[in-house]
Amino acid sequence: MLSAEELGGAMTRERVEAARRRPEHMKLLAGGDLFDAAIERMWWGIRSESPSVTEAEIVAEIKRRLNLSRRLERFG
Amino acid sequence: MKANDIVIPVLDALHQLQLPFMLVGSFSSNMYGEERTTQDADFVIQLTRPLGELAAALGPRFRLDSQLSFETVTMTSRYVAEFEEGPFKIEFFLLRDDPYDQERFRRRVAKPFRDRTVFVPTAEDVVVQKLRWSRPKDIIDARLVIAVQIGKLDLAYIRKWCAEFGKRDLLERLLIEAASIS
Repeated sequence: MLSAEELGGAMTRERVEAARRRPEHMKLLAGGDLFDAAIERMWWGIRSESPSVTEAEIVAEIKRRLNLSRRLERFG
Repeated sequence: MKANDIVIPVLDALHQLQLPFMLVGSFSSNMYGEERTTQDADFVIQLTRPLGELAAALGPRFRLDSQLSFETVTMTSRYVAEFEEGPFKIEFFLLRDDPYDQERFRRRVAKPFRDRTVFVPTAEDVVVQKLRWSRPKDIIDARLVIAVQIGKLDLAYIRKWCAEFGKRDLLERLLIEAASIS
């Protein structure tokens, strides 16, 4: 099993300095913005896998995947 | 509706009801560390009014589950609210009587969230709480917050609480790692 350090990736000076340069108020909003971008990519991925699915089915599939991910995350 | 747009009416409801709160989880660790995506907005709240008032203040576009759920890993109780459109969720964790949780809540600080005010834990408390739980994702977040904030952190405070939770060795390891790249 990978350690937390391995999962988190190498923590380089460049990576840390980039995080220091970003204003706090923007970083506070970043998680939501990244979520929106991820959902959009997931939406198009499901659409391209199954072109005949309806929008409601795509939303249901996204919710199913996220609920699974939440359960996994909750326990580490 | 975008995720951050969903957080705004939640902040408005909490302010309107004057419920003491703080935004925790990835939102706060992103602010002090490095950004990563989050699937929900986690609030710790002091529920001083009936849950129904919170549901009413959130409005009809939110579905607040009145069933309280308990998490065995973090020993927390929470209510979950779903927004009618999309999969982004809001979780309301009840403030516990635990001395550290009370201290963390007392020390919370106000920050701007667009044109609203949000309360978040201090950077020190993000580190302590993450190390207290020590799930892999918590350690990833803690090491980044330490690395980004090192030099600004009240280490005596962090060391005190980490010792309380038996996490002092882990903390020292992360401090050494952060110092080596600063």
